[in-house]
Amino acid sequence: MEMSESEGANGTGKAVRVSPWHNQNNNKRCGMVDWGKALETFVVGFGGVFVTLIILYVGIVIFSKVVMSVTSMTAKKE
Amino acid sequence: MEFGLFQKILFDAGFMHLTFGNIVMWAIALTFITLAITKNYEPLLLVPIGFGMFIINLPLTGLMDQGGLLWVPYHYAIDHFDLIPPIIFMGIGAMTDFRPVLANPKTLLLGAGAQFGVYVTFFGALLLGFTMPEAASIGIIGGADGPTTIYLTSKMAPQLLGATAVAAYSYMALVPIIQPPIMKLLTTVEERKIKMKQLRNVSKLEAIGFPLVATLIICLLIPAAAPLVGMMMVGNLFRECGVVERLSGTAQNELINIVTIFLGLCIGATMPAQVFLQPSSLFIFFLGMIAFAFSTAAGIVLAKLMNLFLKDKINPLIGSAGVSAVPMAARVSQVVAREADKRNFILMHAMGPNVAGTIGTVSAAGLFLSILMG
Repeated sequence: MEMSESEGANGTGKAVRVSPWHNQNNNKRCGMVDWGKALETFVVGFGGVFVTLIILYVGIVIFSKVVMSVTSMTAKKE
Repeated sequence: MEFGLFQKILFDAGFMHLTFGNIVMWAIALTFITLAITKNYEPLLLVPIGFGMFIINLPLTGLMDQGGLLWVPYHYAIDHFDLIPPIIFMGIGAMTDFRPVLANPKTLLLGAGAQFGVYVTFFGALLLGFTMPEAASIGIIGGADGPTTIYLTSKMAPQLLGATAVAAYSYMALVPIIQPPIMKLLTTVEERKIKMKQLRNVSKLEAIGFPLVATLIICLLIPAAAPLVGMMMVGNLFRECGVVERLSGTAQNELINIVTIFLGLCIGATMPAQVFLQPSSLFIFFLGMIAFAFSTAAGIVLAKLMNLFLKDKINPLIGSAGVSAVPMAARVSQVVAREADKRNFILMHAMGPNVAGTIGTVSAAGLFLSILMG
């Protein structure tokens, strides 16, 4: 959706980018949403969170195994 | 002459410029302060937010005009340089024990699943006419993480900062009311009675290494999440390494308290009546509720799905703790589990998805920034 410029809409005296919700003169609402981009955001975003946490999971499992084996080796030597 | 002076003083007085909207905002501010004091709903945030909201709705104070008392910290520490949310994350990291995640890393997946509400709400906000950056800022409320919501909104849709921050903190305070009905609806009594195996002991070396491993992996995958993840993990390293107790203490006490005062006041001050009393604020509160409900439900459903493949079953109630709201959401899981079986203790198990949810929300925010602003 297109945004318009409005001065000081957040009470800070600086220009902010605002949606039609904050510009009562603009009655265009959801006709211009780029649904392709929205779908891409969902797939890449939600999928990305899962992939990140799965990689973190694998990383933690490997890290824990390394630490435990090093700890047990050290303990055996002692 | 004297009459002219009197007229000038009268005209310069704030009450001559009061609007009905200002008085409505006083009532809202008073409600927040009352709820914080009487019900203990997120008092550390809602008291300063309520007061900031109150004082900014006194006409002609100039507190948020350029150079004004609250404009300076807002402009430099939140809006322009985004300093305060990462500093709060340092405090959160210093206060958080990640051992439950290290002991049972599978719970990381529940933290990811509970971000579903963020994306459902993103679409809901788009349908209601919000722009994509605004929709992302509203969706992230579902992560139940106040500082992340503020960080993302200040970067993507600063005009919505007050409403999204207040919605996030309000719903975090309402976790014990919002979550239990959804948890009971989606689980059977037998599922709620599932007892989980005691967590293994995590060594000190693992606890010290975790912040480094997590920073390495997350920041390499989502560089935009580095300010929040980096600060959270350095705070955690202070806590776990055991040799910088003063730094750890400062991060989790004095520093986080100081920035919380400015954060609360400045967020409250972004809500003058003409900005806050818009249909968009109502929609943001409505969408925030949807986000929370979907995140809770998704965590539980994912836990049930995981049970189809796991030998040692997990209690699906811990899935709802995947929304961040640390440690409130984990406590709610414990309370609901004990209602089904008084001898069932799942609090430490629920802390796993709970802290994983924080990481998941930060990752979601970083991905929004990369996709929509990158």
